[in-house]
Amino acid sequence: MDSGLLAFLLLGFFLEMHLVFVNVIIGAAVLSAYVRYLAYRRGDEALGELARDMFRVMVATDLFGGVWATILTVYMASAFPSMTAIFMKVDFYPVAVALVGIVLSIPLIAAYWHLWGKINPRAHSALGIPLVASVLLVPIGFRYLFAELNYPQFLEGGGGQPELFNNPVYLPLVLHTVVGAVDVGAFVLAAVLASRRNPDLYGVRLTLGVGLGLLAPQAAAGVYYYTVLGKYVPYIAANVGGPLLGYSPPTAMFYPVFYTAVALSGALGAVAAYGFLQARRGRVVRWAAVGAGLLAEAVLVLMEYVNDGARYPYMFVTGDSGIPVDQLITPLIQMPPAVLYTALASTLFFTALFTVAFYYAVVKRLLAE
Amino acid sequence: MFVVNSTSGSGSLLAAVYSHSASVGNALFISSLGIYLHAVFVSLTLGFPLAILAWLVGWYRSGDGLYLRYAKTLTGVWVVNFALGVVTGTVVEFGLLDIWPTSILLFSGPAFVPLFFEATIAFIGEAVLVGLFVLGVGRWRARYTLSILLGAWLLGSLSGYFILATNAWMNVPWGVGGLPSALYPFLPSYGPEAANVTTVLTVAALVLNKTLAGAGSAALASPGFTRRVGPLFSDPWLALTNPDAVSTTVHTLLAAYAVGLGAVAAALAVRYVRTRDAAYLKLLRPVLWVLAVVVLAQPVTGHFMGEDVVHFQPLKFTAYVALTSGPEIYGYEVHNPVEALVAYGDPGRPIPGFRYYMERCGALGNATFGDLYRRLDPGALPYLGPFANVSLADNCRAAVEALVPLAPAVSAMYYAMVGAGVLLATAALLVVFGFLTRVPVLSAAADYVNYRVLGRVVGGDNVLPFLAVAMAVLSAVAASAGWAAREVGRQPWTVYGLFTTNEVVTSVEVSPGFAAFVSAVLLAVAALGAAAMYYTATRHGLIDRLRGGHG
Repeated sequence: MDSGLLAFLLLGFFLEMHLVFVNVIIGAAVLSAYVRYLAYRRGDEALGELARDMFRVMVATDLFGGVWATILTVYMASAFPSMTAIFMKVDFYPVAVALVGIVLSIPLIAAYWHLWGKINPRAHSALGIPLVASVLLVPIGFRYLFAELNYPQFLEGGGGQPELFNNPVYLPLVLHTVVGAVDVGAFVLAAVLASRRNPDLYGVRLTLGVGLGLLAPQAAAGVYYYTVLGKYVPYIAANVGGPLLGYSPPTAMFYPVFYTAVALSGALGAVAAYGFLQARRGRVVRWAAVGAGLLAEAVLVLMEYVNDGARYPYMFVTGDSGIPVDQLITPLIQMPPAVLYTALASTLFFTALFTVAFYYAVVKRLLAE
Repeated sequence: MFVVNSTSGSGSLLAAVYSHSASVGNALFISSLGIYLHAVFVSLTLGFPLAILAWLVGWYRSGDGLYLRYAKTLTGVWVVNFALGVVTGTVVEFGLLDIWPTSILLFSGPAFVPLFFEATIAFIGEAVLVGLFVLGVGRWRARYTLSILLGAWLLGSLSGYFILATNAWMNVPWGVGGLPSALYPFLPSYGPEAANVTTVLTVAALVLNKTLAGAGSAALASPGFTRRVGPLFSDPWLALTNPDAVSTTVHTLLAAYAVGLGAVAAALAVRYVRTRDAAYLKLLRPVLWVLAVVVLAQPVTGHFMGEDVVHFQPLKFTAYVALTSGPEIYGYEVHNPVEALVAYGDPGRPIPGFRYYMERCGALGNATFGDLYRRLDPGALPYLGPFANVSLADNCRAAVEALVPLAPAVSAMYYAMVGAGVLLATAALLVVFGFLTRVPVLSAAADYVNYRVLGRVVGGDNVLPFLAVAMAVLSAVAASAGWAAREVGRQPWTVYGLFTTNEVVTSVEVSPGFAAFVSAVLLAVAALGAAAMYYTATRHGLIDRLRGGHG
């Protein structure tokens, strides 16, 4: 395989693995804080317990998401040194914002957990606000790097000065990301809650309801993002939209996947709606909730593949061309295939082990029955 | 002190390379704070499993539930620590890229294999096994949980090896052969001539060019950077085969184990003094055994690490011994029998003073950077700009001059480490022969010191707790001071003999306000992390509650 394509694919693989967990973290954090607030307002202990369950899912996922972030970062800096250096120079402040979010989130998670039931419920609910804010700061910061790839402002003007969140592609992208993360997180939570020996009816209904409710805003955010891409980055818009939207894309590697993901989103809506309606009637349809969780993650993976892959063979896209991936790959060292395969095998093995442990611990055991 | 007699106009150019601006100073401060904070959490994470292991073995052998209860409690603290280590590690890693962007060259060059394996084998494996151990401790069969714990600890240590191998390469750039000595004649050869000279010189010229314009790291932040350079090394394993990687790893990991075990020992000792509950002494004994073994191995491993400094970083070695050598250290050579005996095995051999290095720089004659590049890498000559006219000798002297003012501080840190280490080893011997085992003569001597000397000061019942706390404090002092001496002594370079600190720093101004903000965030994490650990350590049964009440 062409070394440029291999490096690009590996970067994409590590990113996808990271995002699979990160979206659950974001969604579970937001929903947990929201449900905890509802529990306080209604004085409902069962809701409070549901919020705790959601929080446990977030904590269990958080560490592993962080591990994948490290892998992604190391590989990005290793394989694409000048791209990383560009990020660190012109996107210094977005990166700093994301780092502050990471640093603040952990003590806030610990404090939120520790103080649960020990301080005034109102104060505890209020503590959820900085917690959610710190978790959201991470995508708010790091998504700017993706906007930079789509629309590299640093190439204009020649200054390469640090940017302050003024990339025109950024706002729709981060909006699409955050709404999508909460949506995916809600569906995954529904799957976890429905998988228990005694499924949590209210929890399943609530999470499926939130997930369904966010599908429309997420679609709207997607249209907004696509419209902005069409204006500023026609190359990506063409690869994503394909002939159906009047483009003549240079490759057919992406738009079929995009329409597959759209179709899966429709299926997700239908399955989730069925599960939600049944839950309203007092019955948990396990396959529907679990299916919704799996479909949500599948849509996420496919959409991110389209979003990032559509730049290929370029890394930074400018108009109808850009800076090719090949130009950014490190020439300093030849990455031995044995090293790459060993690393891949190791990550897959430990991810499988983590998945089994997660299922056993979070789905079957750690959530108090 | 010296004044570099540089050629007209080159003084300001050399200052751009060797003198730290306020921004660089701020960057160094927040990086140091972040690394030390991370090191604390990592040390505890590496040391705690040994204490848990000792208690679990005690539980399996005796069936005494006390051991299991405390093994579970410490497991909770271990998990909190691990999480804090992950967070601070992420920040340190991204901080490294963000504040010191030229270090990206390490990731994409000699340190690729260690850093990539650290993330994809050691770190991910450790994270999963820590989680599995939390699920299984006290529930699953002994051989399973002990294997998982050992696996997690080994992977954590392997992670340390990969990271420390990277740091070792920055101290001893193995594989660049005689390149550094072409610029600094007093430096030795660093392993095989495995580096592509043209690439090294081109990268150096590009970074130097941008350093003169404000920040060397800006050289990488160009889409054309990778087209201008070629392969650096054909052997990707160089960082792992670096001899300094082995000695650094063994010594530093043992120091980390000692800090983690010392923290546990100190906590138990304090609890014993407060409550006089014999259970704490029972728990303390196996921990002290492991701690003593670790501590007593340190002088040997430290000696090997010191040998690397003497051989590969002679300038740093001269700085180390500044405080015991008198003002002669600024002269040509100095006689320091003790240090010479330890370093060379010959007490009569003189140790080079700073003047020696300055004079060795003179061997470069009147050659300039332009001359060097015209001979070895003419294609990169245009990148040098005005630096082409700077004499190699002036550059060499400026490097020596940059370390001279730091020498007393480096030396103070070095001797703080040595002093703490000697006291630590003494305390370990007093514990081993006074309290853990009985050996004729040695135990009598230990008893004399313990009860006739220390006992009179702290009280006979408090000698063991006192020694445990002393070992904890001295472990921390020795580790902190030793690391500071190693890292500050690396000045003026970030990669020894190749890249200076100024060439690595970000092009974005690190203002005092930014540094204060980052420091405040890091200190808040430290305070909250300490509170979380204390909370977990003082509440038994947290692990069982987390597992849904299945004790």
